[in-house]
Amino acid sequence: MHLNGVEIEDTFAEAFGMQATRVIITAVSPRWARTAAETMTGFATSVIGCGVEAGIEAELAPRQTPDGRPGVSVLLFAMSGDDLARQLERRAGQCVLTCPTTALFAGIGTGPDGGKPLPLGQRLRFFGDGHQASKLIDGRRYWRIPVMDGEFLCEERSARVKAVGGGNFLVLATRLEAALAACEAAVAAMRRRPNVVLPFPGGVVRSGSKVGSKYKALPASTNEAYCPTLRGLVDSRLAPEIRAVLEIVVNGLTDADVRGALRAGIGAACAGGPESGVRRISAGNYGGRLGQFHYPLREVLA
Amino acid sequence: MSALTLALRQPPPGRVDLSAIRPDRLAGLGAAAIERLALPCGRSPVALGELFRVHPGDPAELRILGGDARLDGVAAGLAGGRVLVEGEVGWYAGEGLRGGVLEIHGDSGPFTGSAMSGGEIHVHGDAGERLGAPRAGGRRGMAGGVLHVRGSAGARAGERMRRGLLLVDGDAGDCCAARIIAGTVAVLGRAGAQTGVGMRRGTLLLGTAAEGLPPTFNATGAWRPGFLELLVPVLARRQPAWTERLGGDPLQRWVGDLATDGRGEIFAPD
Repeated sequence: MHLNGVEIEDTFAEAFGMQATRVIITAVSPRWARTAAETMTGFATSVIGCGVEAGIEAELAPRQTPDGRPGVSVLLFAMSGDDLARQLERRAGQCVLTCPTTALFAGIGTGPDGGKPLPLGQRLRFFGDGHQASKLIDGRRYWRIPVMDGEFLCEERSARVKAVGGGNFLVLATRLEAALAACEAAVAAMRRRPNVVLPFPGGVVRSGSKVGSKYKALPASTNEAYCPTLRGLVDSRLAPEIRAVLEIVVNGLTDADVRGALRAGIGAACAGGPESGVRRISAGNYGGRLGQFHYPLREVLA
Repeated sequence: MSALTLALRQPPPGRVDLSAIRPDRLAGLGAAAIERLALPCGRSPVALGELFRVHPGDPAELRILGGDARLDGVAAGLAGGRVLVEGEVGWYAGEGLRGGVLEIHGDSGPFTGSAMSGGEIHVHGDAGERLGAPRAGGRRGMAGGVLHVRGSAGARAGERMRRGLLLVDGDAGDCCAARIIAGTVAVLGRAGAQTGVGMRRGTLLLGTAAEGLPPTFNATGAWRPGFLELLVPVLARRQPAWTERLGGDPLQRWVGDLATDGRGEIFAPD
């Protein structure tokens, strides 16, 4: 199969079940809301080393936020509810509570259609040292924590839902610049979609990994089959003209969200055709035994 | 199915206790059985049918036509459904309300919504003293729900409130929000003397410049906390004037009552 003349390999991306939440950060200006969100989602590329995978989902206009100020919605993904709660509390406390003018709200409701409750301001409130106050407004509890610029307003709970993490595809190109440009276009297309984040730097990963290592202490290590410099040394998956491979990883709230994002991303990456230098789209998997979600590339694009 | 309707035949001979007349207790009773129900009235009970003309219907929606200030305990303990009164009611209307809606198109007497814990009460006229407050000797006032008075409220409105939302569109009498433990009280008009006296925690919003607060309240200066952007729309849904009264500008804030816990707060425009 070819898309715009670019070969689509007959393989599949393998993704995992995760626990996710959405929070909404508002501030006096879009800039400060974004600052808090970028800080909160910094160092959150992979659960392997960061405990959580997180990213900015969208910028929100004042009419889309609970308190009518400019905001940003953030999605966080972890391997378990406990991990998610721990990371959310830590990041909310260190990155949002500290950031001037911000307020923090749940972006997913609890209840039959929503998720299980997840503490947000429930313990952060103790930063108030007894001066914290709660307000129950329209059935939702908020904490008001006195800080030096006034009050940090933080909803008591968010909710966690089942989600999908690790949807991916690989861009194989004749030049690094071509792979990078294709990935940038793909990232732009994927970030326009709701319910997904691309947790890696700029949405792109250069260090695709495999499970395990020759070193006992390492849970993951470089995916040598796709490293151009190891061609001729290992069992390489790269054709002779391929000089660079980059990967895009996407986490989404549902299977359909990840599928849609992969489709949009691959379409954008292939838009320039083979003349752009992009020759092949592949995907990362572990033989299909580890992840609950499989995304056969040809089926996703069909 | 239309509402079960009780139309008052003539003014009651004395104070009548209507607290037993609740939608859940009327369910399954025919018109004749409802007319036979005995209502406490002064020293001797009176049959409901003597006071009211009964039009059968769905008891989940109960209408009382022709109110009287001597009808006490209307919709007391209501847990669901809707009670609508076309006229005034006496003491203890909606006392201990847990759910459902009580709508009074008229004035209501003292202790309206006393110690209610859920549901909504709307009084379209004025309310008497001790709105939402506990009965004498009771320790907890309103513990949840929404109590909205379109007219004015008497003294000690919201006393000993623990949780919930109390709105007064007109003026409130003396000692408004007295001894509240927590919760939100909003008075669009003027509040009387000793407003917030004995307040432990909770929020009192005034739509009119504050005057004569107890000396045990300290001013914290003009400020606009973020939670107002969430709360004001909730108030404005019920009384649109709140948007303009508490719109965009910083509000004066006092904390107190410092004679007690002192974590309560009063907001008012300049």
